[in-house]
Amino acid sequence: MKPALHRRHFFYGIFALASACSKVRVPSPLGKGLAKVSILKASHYQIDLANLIRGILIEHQLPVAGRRVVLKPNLVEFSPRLPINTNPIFVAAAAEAFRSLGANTVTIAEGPGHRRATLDMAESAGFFSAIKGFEDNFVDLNLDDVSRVQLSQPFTDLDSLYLPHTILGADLLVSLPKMKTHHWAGATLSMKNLFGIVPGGVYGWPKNVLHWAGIDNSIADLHFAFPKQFCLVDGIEAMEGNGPIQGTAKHAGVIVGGAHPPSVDATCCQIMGIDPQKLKYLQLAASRSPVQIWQPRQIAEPIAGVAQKFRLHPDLQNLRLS
Amino acid sequence: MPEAEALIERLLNCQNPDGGWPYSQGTSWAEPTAFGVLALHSEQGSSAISARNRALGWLRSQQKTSGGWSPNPTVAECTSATSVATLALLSDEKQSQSLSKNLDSALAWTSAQVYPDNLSFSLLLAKAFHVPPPHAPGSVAWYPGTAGWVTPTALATLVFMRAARQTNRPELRQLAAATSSYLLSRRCPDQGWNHGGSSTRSEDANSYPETTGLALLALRAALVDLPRESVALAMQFSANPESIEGLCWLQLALDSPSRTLPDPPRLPTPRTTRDCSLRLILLRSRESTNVFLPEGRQS
Repeated sequence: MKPALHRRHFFYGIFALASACSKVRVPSPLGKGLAKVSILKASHYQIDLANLIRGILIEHQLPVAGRRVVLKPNLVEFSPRLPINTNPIFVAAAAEAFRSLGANTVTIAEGPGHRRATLDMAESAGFFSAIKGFEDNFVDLNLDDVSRVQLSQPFTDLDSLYLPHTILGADLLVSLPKMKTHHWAGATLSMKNLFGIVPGGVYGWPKNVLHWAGIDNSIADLHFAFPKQFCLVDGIEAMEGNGPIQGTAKHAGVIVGGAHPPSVDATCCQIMGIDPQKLKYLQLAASRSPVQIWQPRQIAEPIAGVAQKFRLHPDLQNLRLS
Repeated sequence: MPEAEALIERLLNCQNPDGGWPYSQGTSWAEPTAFGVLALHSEQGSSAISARNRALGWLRSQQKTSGGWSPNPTVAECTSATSVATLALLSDEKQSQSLSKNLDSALAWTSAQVYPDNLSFSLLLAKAFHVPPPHAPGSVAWYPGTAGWVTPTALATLVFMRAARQTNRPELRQLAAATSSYLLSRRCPDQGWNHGGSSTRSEDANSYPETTGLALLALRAALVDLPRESVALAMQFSANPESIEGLCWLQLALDSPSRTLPDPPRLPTPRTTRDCSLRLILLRSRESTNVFLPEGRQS
């Protein structure tokens, strides 16, 4: 049967054409290139998120076909009310987008840092109902088999980490964080989300070896351990105040995506009213980044069109973007 | 099929050829294997006895020369997985003043993980600047050298009391007193326990059913009078324990011959082999022995 042509195919075509015309890397004033970061408005979770995310992937010309893709959402606590976890509808939409672009496999994987009952948390957060066959496509990274991985020029004193095979075997790691303030790191976004790949089965709950080695330095080390990443930040219902768990809901209505995590996170910070240059882990990432991260080439919406002043923990007022 | 038999069958089907258990699938890990040994402790069927013996063999083969266990053969470092492995070996030990060499070294390793109560320079600095001390006295870490937390400390307490019962070594009771003090000091404002985070920037942190149940079980094993508010909260948690692990630790902590904590209307699903073992341990504790408690503390 001849496939029907829908409006969404026309939309993809326009997106792909626009993408092809905008692929030239623009040199920054500092001599480094700029990474592309997409900012899209998304007022709520009931819109066609899969289409929106697919558009971002096409825009970034991300090679997806035939790849083993691992989606890493942020699953932290039993809390259906507060926006602590990445919304399961957002995760389902990302999975659909990657499948529609020909991914060989799309696995969802997470290793929560405080609670061991990962699947119960996922069920409570709505993952079972939002994602068909969730249990068959999910890996608890805390309990996955592991291998020791040497860290190249680490910022911490750790020379290696045990990491789960599901992540090490992925062709593409996709960080799907919730946009949240963080009472120690300032903001928890796509880079901090990688704490969840460190196995609790080895390091415990919480994964204190990372805190002991320095939160910011550990975030930077994990970032550089995984060069093949893409990020899609769920900023539709975000969190402000005493995040990442005890904060309050903040409707930001935005999705941020890109292939360079520090640039994506720096953009999110600007949206949240946080000065990205004051976050230590972004400073560390910038020091070794091949691109200039502070003002990435932001496409689709301008920051001013989506920016909101997120409430910060009283001890972190110095991080406010002036 | 009765629940206990279904759990045994699931455990037998998941056992690896080397005798160990994975959490779900894959290679054998020390923790689920040790829980499997404890779960099959009182089974009389030949398949269950054989599975338990093979698991004990695997555990013994994995013990490091330091006396500890790493969580998985690919991991070089020994961790708090040692506590559950030690409990598993203790369950196979006859009442005796002298323990096997394996257990002696396992106890020595675990004892060395309890952070001492010393007024070091860093502790004084921490007190002066009102920040938590780097290593809370009496606590035990998941991973050596890092901070102490509720779960590994509670498991170590169970080890010390179980071994003390079998050997009458006074130093083990002293260690259990120190770990119990840490546990009591780490209660949340609601009088339960979470992972054991400090109060800094988490002043109103809520407790969890699973850590509340495990901490209460450890305190009960250590002959500490259970705080009334903590017990009341645990009873509330048991109506909605969020996970089978949470329910099992709560029931193991609060069950007595005269009163068993009822299951909630919707029983959480056992997700992993460890979950299956915990549930089986709970079910068997209601018929015979709570493998975590010293004799005489069932009532």
